[in-house]
Amino acid sequence: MPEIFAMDGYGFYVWGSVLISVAVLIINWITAHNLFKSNINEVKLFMNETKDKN
Amino acid sequence: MNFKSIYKLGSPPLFYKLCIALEPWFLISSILLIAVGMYSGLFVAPPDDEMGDAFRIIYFHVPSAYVSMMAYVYMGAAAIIGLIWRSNVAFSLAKSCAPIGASFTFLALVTGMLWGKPMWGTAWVWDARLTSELILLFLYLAYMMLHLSIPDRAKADRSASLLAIVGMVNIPIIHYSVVWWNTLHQASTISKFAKPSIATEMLWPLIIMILAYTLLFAAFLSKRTAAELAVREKRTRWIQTLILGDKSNA
Repeated sequence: MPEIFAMDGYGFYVWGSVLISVAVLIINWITAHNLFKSNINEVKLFMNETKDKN
Repeated sequence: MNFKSIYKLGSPPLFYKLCIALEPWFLISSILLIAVGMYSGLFVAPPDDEMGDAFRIIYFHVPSAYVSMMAYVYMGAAAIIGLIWRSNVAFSLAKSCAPIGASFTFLALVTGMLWGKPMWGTAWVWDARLTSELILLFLYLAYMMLHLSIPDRAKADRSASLLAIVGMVNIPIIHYSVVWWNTLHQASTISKFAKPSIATEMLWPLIIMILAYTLLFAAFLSKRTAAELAVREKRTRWIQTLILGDKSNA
């Protein structure tokens, strides 16, 4: 098991790449999902405003 | 697929529905492929003769670099289509490509630095490949900032699209930089026309990871484009009907 983490002495660089890649991909997904939710809410708000005006 | 069916994709309701329908499939398949690719790249592929286990960074670096350029090509193509046909779908696609492309470019640069430090003895050199990739990140950031800085959406779309089109000149420069100039960065590991320069057991995880990152890009792009289209089309009946009918968005 320690050999897997050591990666022939390059553990910091290899696992650093893995961690940063996974983190950026997850952040990417969260921001895309949040953008979708907030834009849908904006459309809903717009619909409610126009309904109130009418 | 004939020209008429491609033309139909310019319809915002159709494209929105397509994005919503395809996004989960892109996401699930990419997660599965990433799991397989990471496992085989990190634990199954043999260590490299010269670089040892440090070579495993390519399973994260190469797919990120590939998607960073692919996203820009899509952004540029969508910008051209948007400018010619004034298409909301094309402008939404171009705008959605930018943050995703920027994040993959950032990943390519950081994983490249993590590879360069133990292999070259330095994390950064002003080598043609690294510099042109850094310019790509600046182009994405410039596109996003330009779009944000212009309040009128139509003007913002047009100006940012022009920037995206001009920036496309950087893509062949990145790709051929290792051929045109004497760079510290190694030449392409996989070429369309030549035999790959790595062993088959090392190559398969790389191909799986490239496919996984491409599908992940498609998933992010679908989600962001659907979001962008929804807000651009908020005055139209189709999106209002769709949102009213979709309880899952509540």
